[in-house]
Amino acid sequence: MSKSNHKESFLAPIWKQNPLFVSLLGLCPALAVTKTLEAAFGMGLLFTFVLVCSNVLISALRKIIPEEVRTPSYIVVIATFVTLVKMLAEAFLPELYSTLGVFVSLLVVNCIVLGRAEAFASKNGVVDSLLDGIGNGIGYTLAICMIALIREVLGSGMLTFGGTFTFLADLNGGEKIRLFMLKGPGYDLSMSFFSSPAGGFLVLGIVLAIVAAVTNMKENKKKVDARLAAKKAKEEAAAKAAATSKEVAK
Amino acid sequence: MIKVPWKHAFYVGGFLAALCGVLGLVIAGGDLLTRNTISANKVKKEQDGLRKVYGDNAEFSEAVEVKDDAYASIGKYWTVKIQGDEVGRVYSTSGTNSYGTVSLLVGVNKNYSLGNIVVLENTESYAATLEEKYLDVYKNAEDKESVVDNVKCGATFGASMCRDMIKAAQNHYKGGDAK
Repeated sequence: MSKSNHKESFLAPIWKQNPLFVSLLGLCPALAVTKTLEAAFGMGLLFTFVLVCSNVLISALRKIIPEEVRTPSYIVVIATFVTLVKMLAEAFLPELYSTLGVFVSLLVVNCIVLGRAEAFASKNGVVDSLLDGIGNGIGYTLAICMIALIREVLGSGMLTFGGTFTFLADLNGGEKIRLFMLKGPGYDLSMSFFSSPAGGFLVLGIVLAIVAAVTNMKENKKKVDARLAAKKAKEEAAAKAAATSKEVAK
Repeated sequence: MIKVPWKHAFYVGGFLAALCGVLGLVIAGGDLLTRNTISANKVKKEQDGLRKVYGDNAEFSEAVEVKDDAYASIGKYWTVKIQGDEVGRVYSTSGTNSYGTVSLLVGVNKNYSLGNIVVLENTESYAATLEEKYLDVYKNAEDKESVVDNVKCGATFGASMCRDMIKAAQNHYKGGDAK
């Protein structure tokens, strides 16, 4: 596969084919773990690890996996990496593990992971699958972090760091790092509604609408530009034809 | 007569067995790597939790295991002393329902009134709702007895389970089997 295809495998899922914003996959964790930016980022990291590892292994085994047991094999591979990531998170990032709760285990049935295994890793080489995994991981992490950023700022009026990644609090002398944005001495503009599941739906809906509007705007601009270019070319051709016929008449 | 493709069937079976075997070994390796750290984390969390229930001045006895089917949710308890006087107990309780597992440290005072609780584990699928609607309300209440039964709070299943765990701790202390 060419270098440009490698690049496409990596870059496309980050924005153009973002698994959350464009394909609308993985909506359940996108609503459940986006209450805080830290939790969303942690989920993104674990998700990327599972996706990259499963993509690479499935791609490496794609020629020897029997057709009849393709999907069960993928699920066994994904479940293994989820179990592994669960154990690692429980051991080395216990606060993140307890914050994400059941949603770490639910990565086994995450439709992006299974979808990329089926649609990409089973048909492409190891390098491309690796890049696809990293690209989708980054794309999904960015998407849920964007939602979490909006929800946390609007819902609590500030950004808090150190609750899930406790080493950040340790670096700050044991205190959580708080960046006050809509809250301060004498004023509090936060709306706790945005921390609730309903607020999550609303924010997701608005972000999806903005993404769709931006994408449509770009596509429309391309169409208009193409139409104008065609019109200009037509006019030029007509002028040229008129000039030629004039010369012939002379 | 149907011809069975034995060769292919053996290949499929062999592949699945080999895949599961190898991935099983990977999981076992992960378990070996993380087991001790996870246990140490749990012990540390438990010790930190004990301090949160009765404060830094409290002294805790060795944990006493509870193996009584009538109190199945209770794993063990610690007797708490402050300046040499017994002030209550802390019970380690755990419960599971169809939404997940909750583990609590429940403080019960010497006069059998309810004390603080600390959440050690909450894997309920609506964990945040349970904490916000029931556990946090319980923690912040001056009179714990008045809120412990208020389980129709928006997280009824989890709250009912937690209430039963808290009551089990209280009843166990009242039973006085360790006095």
